[in-house]
Amino acid sequence: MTGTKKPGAAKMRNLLMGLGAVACLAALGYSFFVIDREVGAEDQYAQVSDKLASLAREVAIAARGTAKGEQAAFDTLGAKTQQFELQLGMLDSGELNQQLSMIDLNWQPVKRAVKTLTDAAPRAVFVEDTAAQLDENVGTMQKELTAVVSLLQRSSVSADTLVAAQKAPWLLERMARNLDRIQAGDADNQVAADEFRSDSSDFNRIVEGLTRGDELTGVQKVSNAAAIESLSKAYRLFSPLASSVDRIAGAATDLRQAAAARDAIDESSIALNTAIADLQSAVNSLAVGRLYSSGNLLALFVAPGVLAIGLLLAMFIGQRRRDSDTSAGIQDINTALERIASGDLTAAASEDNSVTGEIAHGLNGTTARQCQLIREVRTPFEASVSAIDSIRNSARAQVQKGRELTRSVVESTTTATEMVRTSEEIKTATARAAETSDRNCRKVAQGYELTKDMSKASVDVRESVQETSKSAKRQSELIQSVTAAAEYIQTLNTKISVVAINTRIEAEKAGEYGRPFLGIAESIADLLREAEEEGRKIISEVRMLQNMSADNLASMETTVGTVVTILEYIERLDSSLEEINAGSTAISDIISNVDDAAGKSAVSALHMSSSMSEIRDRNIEISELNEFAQKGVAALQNSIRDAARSLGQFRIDANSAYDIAPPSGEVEDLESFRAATQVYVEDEVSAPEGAEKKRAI
Amino acid sequence: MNSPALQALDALERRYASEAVAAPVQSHQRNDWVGTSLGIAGVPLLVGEGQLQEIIETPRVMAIPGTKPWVMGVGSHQGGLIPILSGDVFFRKRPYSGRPREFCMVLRRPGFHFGITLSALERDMKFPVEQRDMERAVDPDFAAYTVGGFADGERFLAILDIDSLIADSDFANAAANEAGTNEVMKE
Repeated sequence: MTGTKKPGAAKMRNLLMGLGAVACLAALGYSFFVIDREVGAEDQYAQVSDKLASLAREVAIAARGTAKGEQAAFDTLGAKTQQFELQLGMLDSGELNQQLSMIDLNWQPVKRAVKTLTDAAPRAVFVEDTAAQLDENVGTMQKELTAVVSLLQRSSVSADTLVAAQKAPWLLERMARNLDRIQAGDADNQVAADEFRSDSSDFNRIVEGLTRGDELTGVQKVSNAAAIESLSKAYRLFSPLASSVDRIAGAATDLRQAAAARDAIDESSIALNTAIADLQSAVNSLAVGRLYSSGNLLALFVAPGVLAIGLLLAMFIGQRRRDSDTSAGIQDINTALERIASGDLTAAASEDNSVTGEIAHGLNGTTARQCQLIREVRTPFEASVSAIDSIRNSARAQVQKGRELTRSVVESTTTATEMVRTSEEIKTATARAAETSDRNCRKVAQGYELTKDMSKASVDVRESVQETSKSAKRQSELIQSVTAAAEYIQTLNTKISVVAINTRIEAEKAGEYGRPFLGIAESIADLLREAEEEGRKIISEVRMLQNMSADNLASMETTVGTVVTILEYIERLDSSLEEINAGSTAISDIISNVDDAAGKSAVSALHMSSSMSEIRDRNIEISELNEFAQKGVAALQNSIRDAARSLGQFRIDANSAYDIAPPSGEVEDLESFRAATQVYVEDEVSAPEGAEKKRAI
Repeated sequence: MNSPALQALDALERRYASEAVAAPVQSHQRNDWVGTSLGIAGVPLLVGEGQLQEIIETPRVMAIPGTKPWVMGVGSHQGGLIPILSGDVFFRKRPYSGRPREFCMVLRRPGFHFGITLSALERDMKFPVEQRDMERAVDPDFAAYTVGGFADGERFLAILDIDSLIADSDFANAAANEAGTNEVMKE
């Protein structure tokens, strides 16, 4: 019944929503048209005010541009002024009267200054043209006049003539500068104009004087043809300026006023720009224009229109989806009913469908209650299965523990046997160590006696070497004495030689009478030669003996040092032997303690072996009990499994089927349990041999 | 015609001929060069016989100002004064600061009477003249004052020519410099 009513109401609602959206769009469009028309006039005010600001700046720039004296600048200034007047006349709004009055108030000085500039335009242009012409020709004129001066310097002319000729280029230069000052329109441009007029007259008079001669000033007539030609060329270039001197001088006043007008425009432009900026702010702050600008209109009207269109589209798409959901929901319910009829209680219809959701909800609730009933029936059986699994796991753990206990008993028995054997070996080794220690003690005692003998012998050697050293020192002293005696004999020989030589000299002086003395002198010389040879030989051998004695002395001192070192070593050896002796005694005590400990360890190992035998007996009994428990558990498990298989015919969830197949490891556990018992028994059979041996040890 | 007297004379002649000692034969006289072996500045030298006046112990000397470095000073000798010259400084041309020389040889020539210190003094020696070696190189400091020499074992003894020594202009003028001399003369 709900399904039949809902589509009609929905269609009516959708129709009404569509009509409302269309009406809304129409109203929005009409409002936009009307407001946009109202906003247009105020937008025009903003454009005019922007144009006025731009024109005010352009008028100021154009006024500054007239300083160059170009006609185009004056024309531009006039055009910009007219445009400003025109734009100002386009503003006619009661809300802007105050700002427009301020603009008009600041515009009037500008307008008057522009009028002044426009009036002065012809003279300014004329002065600019004349100045440009003079600037262009002044170089050429000065060059020609300089040529005239050069020619006059080579000619025999008067000094006044030469001075006048040299003054002419300088006057041209000053006229050009004064013309620039007149054009600038500064405060002193009237002075410049007067000076310009005076310079022009002077220049004309000089040229006249040079051309025709002037007795009053003393300027002579130029007779050189080249000078005359240069002078004529210079004056031809100057003649246009000469004819307009009065006009230029008269323009000074206008140009000065024009400069003042430019300054006035610059000053008034600031206030004018400020007034225009206030006008722009006032235009922007008009309420309608700020609120209903094109951007705001777009945000306020066009966006809701787009939203209304989107709503219409959403309504259409929703209607189409609802129809398809209805067909899909009915199909889903039919499929679920077919599965339930076949016994599958896990089948469920989708409740997400807005049309068939309530039907599916009822159907799913029914199947859920049926599944709950089946689950409640199966729960005790599942608990029994869990308990049986726990018992099975416990029995399996007991089997595992029994296996580990058996292995531990075997390892403990082996360890005890090893301990007994090791203790016997330790006792044997300690006996040998004790014998060795006694032998070492005896050897140490012998070494101690030997060190005493060595120490005594070393002391004797040291004393003997010291005595020998004393004797060697005495011997060395005697050798030094002999050396000194031999050297003295050599000195005596030298003196005897002197006597012999002098004897021979005196004998030669005596002539025939001195001949016997000559023979005596020769004999003395022969004897001296032999004595010198023998004396030299004696000194050499005595020095050799002295060196040998020194070597022996050094060797003996080294020997004494070595003996002292040996004595130190012997003392260290003595102390080391005493320490070894004390260490050997301590080792003997340790060996005896180890021997006692080894005997106690052997007794403990035998006691542990007998305890292992009792543990093994108890383990056999526990194994038999576990076997009976396993059989009972297997029978109970089979009964429970049969009941669960019957209930498993109902499928109540995706994983509802019972795992009725017995775990593959269960039988193996029983077999392994038995195998563990058998291993234990086999160990028990093999153990006695080792055990007997161990006990024998 | 054989008279007994003549016969006796013949017998006497024969007897004398058979028993008389043979006449002495004049042996060949070896011509030896004789001189005194001494040393100056460590160089072994020979001074021919007749060249030396005497060998004396070096006397204590008094230094003479304004003389060259090799003039040690004047010392007393046989009641007079003689200049004592340092052989080491003169020949080596450098100062000597070694062991004091104990002996010096006294030379006398016309216009010269002085003593030169010796570094060694041996004895008189003889050498065959024909063994004189004029080519062997000697110490460069002594080359100008030696005329050959003799080999004595492994060493060579150059013969010091006293005449060459005295003829040396440097040796003949013991004044330190001419300027000093002129100054003294002015005073």
